[in-house]
Amino acid sequence: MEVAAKRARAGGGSAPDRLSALPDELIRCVLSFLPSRQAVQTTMLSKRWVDLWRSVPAINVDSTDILGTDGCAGWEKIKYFTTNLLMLHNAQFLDVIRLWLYAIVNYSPHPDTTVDRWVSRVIKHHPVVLEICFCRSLGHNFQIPLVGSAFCRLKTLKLDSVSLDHCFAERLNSGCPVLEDLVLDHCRNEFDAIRSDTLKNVVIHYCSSRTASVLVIKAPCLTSLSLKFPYCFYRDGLLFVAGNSLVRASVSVDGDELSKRCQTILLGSLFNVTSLELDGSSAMAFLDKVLDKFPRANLLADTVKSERDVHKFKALGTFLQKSPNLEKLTLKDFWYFEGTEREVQRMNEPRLKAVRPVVGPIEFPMLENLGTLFLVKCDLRDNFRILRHFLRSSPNLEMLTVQCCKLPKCSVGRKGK
Amino acid sequence: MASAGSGDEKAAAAAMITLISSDNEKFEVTEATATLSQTIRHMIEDGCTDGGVPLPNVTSKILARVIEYCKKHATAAAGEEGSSSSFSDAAFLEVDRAFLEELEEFDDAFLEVDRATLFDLILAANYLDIKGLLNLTCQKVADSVKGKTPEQIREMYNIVNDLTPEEEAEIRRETQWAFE
Repeated sequence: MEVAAKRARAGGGSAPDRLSALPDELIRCVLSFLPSRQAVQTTMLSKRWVDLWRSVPAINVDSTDILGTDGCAGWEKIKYFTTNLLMLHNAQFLDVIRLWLYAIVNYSPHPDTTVDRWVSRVIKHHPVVLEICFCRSLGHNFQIPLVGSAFCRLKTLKLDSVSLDHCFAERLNSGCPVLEDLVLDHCRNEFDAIRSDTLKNVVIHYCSSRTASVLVIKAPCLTSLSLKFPYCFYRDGLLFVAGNSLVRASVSVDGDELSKRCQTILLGSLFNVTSLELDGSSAMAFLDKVLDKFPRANLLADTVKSERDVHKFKALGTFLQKSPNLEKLTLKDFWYFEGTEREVQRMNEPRLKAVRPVVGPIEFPMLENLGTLFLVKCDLRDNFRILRHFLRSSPNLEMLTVQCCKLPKCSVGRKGK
Repeated sequence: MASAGSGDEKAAAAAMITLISSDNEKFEVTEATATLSQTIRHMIEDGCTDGGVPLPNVTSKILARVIEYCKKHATAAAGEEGSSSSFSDAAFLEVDRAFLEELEEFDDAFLEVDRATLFDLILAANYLDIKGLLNLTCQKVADSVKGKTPEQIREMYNIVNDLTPEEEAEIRRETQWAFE
C-alpha cells in the first residue's frame, strides 16, 4: 500500500513535474551541482530546459566524466568539449569554476596554451570558488593570469599540481580582497611569501620550490593551518606570522629536511592553538629540536638527550606545558615501530626500562582544557605510559580515540564520560 | 561546548522569535536559530518581528523541518566558528572530522523525505534565504539525476517532452559535443 502510494506521488503519470516547475534560478542552482557535461545534456528534456544550462553559474569540467573506453580521457576530447562549453555558456557571473583535468592521455603540453586561455576566459566572470587541478604527471606550466579585478569576489582558491610564478603572491595580496581559503597541493611555487589580511584557512601540502628557500606566511586573520612537508619542500622551511587568531593547526613531516631554526619558529608560533594534530615521528623529532630553543625547555636534561624516546616524551610534555589552551590533540604515527625483528627487539631492550625513573608527572602538565584526544598508530607499549599520563592529567577529557595503536599486554583502563 | 551552550541560552532567552506558518501554527525559536534565514535576519534587524513573523509561503509541516535543520546547524556554527562549509576537506583536521561526520549524518537523515517534501524544502529554503539548506536540497536533486540520460530524467520527474522531432534533432546537432 505504502509503496503504491509513494509511486503514485513520485512517479505516476499524473504526478506534477515539480522539477520543471521550479523558478529558473533554482533549476540553475540544481544544475550547478552537476558536472557541466550533464548539465548541458538537460537541454534535451523539454522546451523549458533548452537554454537553462547556458546560464548556470558554475563550470564543472571533470575529465573523469569525459572518459574514453580505455578509462582515460583523451586530451583532444576534453579540449573539444571544454572549448564548446566555454564558447556557448553565457552566464554573466560564475560562482564556481572547477577545472579538474586528471587522468589525461595524449596530452601535448608544448606549446599548448589551451588551458591558460580557458582560465583567462573564465576568471573574467568573477568566480567565488576557483579550483584548478592537473594530472600530476603532466607537469603543466601554468600561471594564474593577471586580469584586473577578476578575483574581486574570490573566496576559495584551490590549485593542484600547478606551477605558480613569483607574481602569484603579489596578486594574492593585492588582487584578492576577500580571499578566505587557499589550498595549494603539489604546486611548484616560484614565490617566497603569502601575504593576506583576509585569509582564514591555509592548506599547503607537498609544494616545492626551486627558487625560494623559505616560504613566509603572513596572515593575521588565519584560523586554521595545515602543512605537509615532503622532502623537496622549501629548503629552509617556513616562516609563519599570524595573529592570535589561529585555533587549528596540523603539521605533518615526512622527512627531516627542515633546518632547526625554521622548525623552532614554526612550532613556536603554534602554541596558542586549541586543536593540534602532529603526524609522523619526524614531527616529534622536530619538536625536541625546537624545544631546545625555548627558555622553558631547560627541563630537557642534556644527559638524556641520547635517549631519543625519553627525549620525545619530554618534548611532548614541555610542548603541552606551553600550550594550556589545547582542547583537541591528535598524535599520529608516534612511537610506532615497524622495523625488522631485530630493531623491534632492540626497542624492547632494558635500556628503556632503565630510564623510566627520570620520567615523572613533572614533565607532564595538567591539561585542564583538553577535551578530545586521538591517538592514531601510536605505540602505547612504550615505557613512558603516555596514555596513563594523559588520562591522569586531563580531568576534562570527554573523548578518547585510540586507533591502530600497539597496546601493552596488560589491558589499559578506559575512561569516558 | 557545554558552557557555551548555556551562555547562548541565557542570551537567547531574551530573544525568542515566533514564526507563524501558512496554516497559522506558531513556532518559538531562538534568535540564533532564526537568523540562519537571511530573510528573518533582515526582519530582526529592521525590528519588525514583534508579534511574530508570518510566513505565508511555508506550511507548518515544512516549517517544522526547516527549524529542525536550523537548530542543528546553528549549534554547529556556534561550536565550530570559522569553518566554512564550502571549504575543501583537506583543510579539516582529524579532530574536526568526527564533528563534520556527525553533521553529515544529520543532513543525510534529514534528506530522507519523499520528493514532494524535498521540493517544498527547496522552495522554503529559497524563500527564507537559508543558503546551506538550499544547497543541501538542490544537491540532493542533482545527485538523483547524476549519470542518468535525459530520457531517464524525464521518466523520473514526469517531465513531458514537448519538443518536436525536428527541434530535438536541431538541439542534438548543436550540442553534439556534450553527448560524445
